[in-house]
Amino acid sequence: MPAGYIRPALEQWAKLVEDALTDLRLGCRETRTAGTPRRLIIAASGVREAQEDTVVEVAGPPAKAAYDAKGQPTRAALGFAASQGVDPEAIQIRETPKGRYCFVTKEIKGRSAREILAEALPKTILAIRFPKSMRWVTGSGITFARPFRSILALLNRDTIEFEINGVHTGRTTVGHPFLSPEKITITTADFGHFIEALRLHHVVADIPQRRSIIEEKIKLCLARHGSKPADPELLDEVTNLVEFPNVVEGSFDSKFLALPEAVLVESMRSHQRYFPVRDAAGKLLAKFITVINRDDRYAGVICEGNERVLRARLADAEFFLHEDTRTRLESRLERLKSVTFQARLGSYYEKVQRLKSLAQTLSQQAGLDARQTAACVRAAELCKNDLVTSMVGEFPRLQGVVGRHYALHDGEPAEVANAIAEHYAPRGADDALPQTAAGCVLSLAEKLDTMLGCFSVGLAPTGSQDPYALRRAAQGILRILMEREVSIPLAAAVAEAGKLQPKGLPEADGVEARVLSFLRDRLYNYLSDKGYRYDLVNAALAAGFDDVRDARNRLDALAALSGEPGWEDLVIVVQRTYNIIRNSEVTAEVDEALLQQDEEKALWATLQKHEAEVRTLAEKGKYLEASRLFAKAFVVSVHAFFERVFVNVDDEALKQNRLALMKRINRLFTQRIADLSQVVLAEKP
Amino acid sequence: MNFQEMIFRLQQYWAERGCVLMQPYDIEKGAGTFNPATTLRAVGPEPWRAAYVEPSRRPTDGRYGDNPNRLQHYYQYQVVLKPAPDNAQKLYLDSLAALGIDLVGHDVRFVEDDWESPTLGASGLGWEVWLDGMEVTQFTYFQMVGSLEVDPICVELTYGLERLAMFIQKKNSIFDLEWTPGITYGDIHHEDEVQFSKYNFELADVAMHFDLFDKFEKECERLVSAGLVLPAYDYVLKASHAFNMLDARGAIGVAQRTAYIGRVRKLARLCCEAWLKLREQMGFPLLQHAEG
Repeated sequence: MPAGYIRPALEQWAKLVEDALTDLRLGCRETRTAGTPRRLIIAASGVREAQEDTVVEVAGPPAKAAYDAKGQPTRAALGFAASQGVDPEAIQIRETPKGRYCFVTKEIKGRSAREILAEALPKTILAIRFPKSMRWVTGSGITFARPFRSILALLNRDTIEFEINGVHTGRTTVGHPFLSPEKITITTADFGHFIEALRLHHVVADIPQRRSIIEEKIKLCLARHGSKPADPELLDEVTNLVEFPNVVEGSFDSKFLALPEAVLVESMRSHQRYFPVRDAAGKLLAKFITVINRDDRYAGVICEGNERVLRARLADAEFFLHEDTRTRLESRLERLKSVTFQARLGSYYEKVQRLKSLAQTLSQQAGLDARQTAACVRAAELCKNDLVTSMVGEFPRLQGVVGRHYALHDGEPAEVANAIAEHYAPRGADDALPQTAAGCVLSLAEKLDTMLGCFSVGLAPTGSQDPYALRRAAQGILRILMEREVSIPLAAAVAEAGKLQPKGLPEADGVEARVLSFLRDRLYNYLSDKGYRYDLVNAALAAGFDDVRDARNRLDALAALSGEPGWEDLVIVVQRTYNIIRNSEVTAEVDEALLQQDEEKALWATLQKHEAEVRTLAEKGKYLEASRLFAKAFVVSVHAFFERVFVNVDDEALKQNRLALMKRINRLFTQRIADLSQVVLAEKP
Repeated sequence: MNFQEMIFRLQQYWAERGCVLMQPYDIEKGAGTFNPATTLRAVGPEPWRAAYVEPSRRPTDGRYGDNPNRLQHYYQYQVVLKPAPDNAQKLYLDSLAALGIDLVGHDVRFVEDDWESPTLGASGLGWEVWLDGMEVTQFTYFQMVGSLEVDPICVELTYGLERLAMFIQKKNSIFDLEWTPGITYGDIHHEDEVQFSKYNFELADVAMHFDLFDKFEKECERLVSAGLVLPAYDYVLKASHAFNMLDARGAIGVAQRTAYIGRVRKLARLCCEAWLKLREQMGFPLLQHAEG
């Protein structure tokens, strides 16, 4: 079985078996599973020998149809009794909401577990779903991950008899195919005994146990070099490549350390499933660790074989390096004309032209200095050229990294080379961000170009369809803007990327707005995932997200304020001022001459006194102080205003003036900091 | 064990297990699968067991004879077993033992590999077989060939003879393999690699190969229409090789590439369909043998 199939198959199977045992009234206390690439194992305990007996009640015809005037059963009654296999005397008449009806009560004897399991277990096996399955028997519609050749099925001491695809169940299995190929007979369905019997035949069936044996052995090897512990993902995979876990440490010629590190790691890890070995400082050593399915007697020979394989791979990579560096990276640009990015969006050559222009604009918007800007634009020009190198042909996942290596080889500045490598970053939610300013800007340019292009040709993500990974691109954009020292006005950047797309694309109309709204939704998810309250996120984003870090600062202020005593009062000020204006069109400015009552005059005076300061604090990003000042100024005064002043008066001028005052107070907060009318206040107990 | 002895042993082993020993097919091809003894015979209900050496060409894999592990021309040993026997894996492992490989003392591993040949419209599930980390065989249960579903399922074993020989002879370079005492693989094939790499990468006439591709395609379609499936299939192979040459010359862009592969796949499908019809008209003779 493929390594990646084993755990998911066991999880599904456990659920299927538990459900079947429960549905069939056999009961199940717990299931335990184990598995290797050659076997899937499940044991259920607390299973009854037979189903519980049950009593069922079956409704029949109405009483008046079942008996004639003399009280004799009619054909309807006789038929009903016969169909239920009881005498007509057994029929009982009961009152129901629909009238009097015939009933029979039957006791159903539980069937034996062995009999039932023989029907149910094959169904559970065939209900396991795999990423890919195959047929192997002529004329049989049965599919499974790979052909199975043997089934052991026991209920206590008895075999459960069934057959799938010509394979009949029995009580034998086999050990390790090479170290203990003999048959093993199992007498009783005891999970512990079974695992132990396999263990005696060089099979460690328990997955966590196999994993920890490998982990310990690797740890011992690594400890000699002071390395960090092994990569857990690879550990999971290799655990399910072997039945008898063992490891060997091999080495390779140190001349290969001159290859790009990523090439070494890719050759070892992805192609051969070897663990690379690093010293305490994290520098790669000319060593590797591989997991083998044999005991130590054979380790030496197997290690030599693996060393030969790796040497061959690295020699090949060396050949590519040699071939590729005979041509300068920059001279490969022309060849990109024959590499399509997307049918409507043109070749990678055209994409590079757009990236150069976008990199220039975004560098300026981000305030990069002249040197960084030049590096960013140069990197844009070179960043796709490694797609037409032999090395990337062989190691497609190393695009970018290979470009950096060749750029450095050609004598390009380090800043350019790094930006080339970084322009794909981040490649996933947890992946590292670009480290250099030029790399950040080029990565933004690359992602914005892809998003605007794809949205313009109707490739916006829908459901699970996202072939150009636009969700990941959007998240990358936001993470860079949020977590790196790069600040770019989002709307302007989106507009610029949109302008550069080819003319006449089918869905180009309004694409900037759609991309911004998509980014807003991604930003909402990003912030929600960080644990912010959804209503606070909505409130902060409603006041804008052109500068995403500023939006987050405002959100942080809200999060802090929402834990303070004055929070509710602050929210209420914004909500009351909002509620009073929301159904009116307020066009007027406040006219001081129209202020009549003391409370409105006082409020106006308060506004005069604090407005500028609130605004200044907000402009400086001091949102906490701005908010506190706003609350201090308006909580009491607005409350007093609403107590005494009636806004919706008949005098239109007066009404407009009061609405204008309300609007100005409301906007002072909602435009600069957050729209608190989106906040949900906790119900008072 | 030298290179030619390995071939003898495999021939002997598979002949004893009921395989027809075929000879290589006389047209350039990328792999033994393309031989009509596999592609066409995998289609339809008739049983079939065959084994043969197949010289194979992959122009892009040329390394001018500089690289000790890659060749643009190499040898596969191909076995097809249809229907797939229940003990397919054991039969395969025994063949390794027949080559003198100690299966207990080496790490034999079946690593997930879902094989696919987009040009043939063929795919299957199975494994790469690793010997101490070296991939030596592709072990595939065919599910589709010529875009047709395969039933009965056919198992294909493709041994990489050079890889296997390097493993057995413990050599670090293909060119050092002993072919027969006193003669190495390099003595026989090194100059081929030098010359053909130069030809494939630098000198092959691109315009001519584009032109040939179109002509081969037309010829194939014409022959299928005329009911001559076997000559038609030759032109699938020729078109496929012309495509491989263009690919090595870097003459085909990514988008074009898919289109060219699709064109070969269509030809393969036409031939497989025509072959199935032909065999049906003939009353599936091998099915009758098997029953008789």
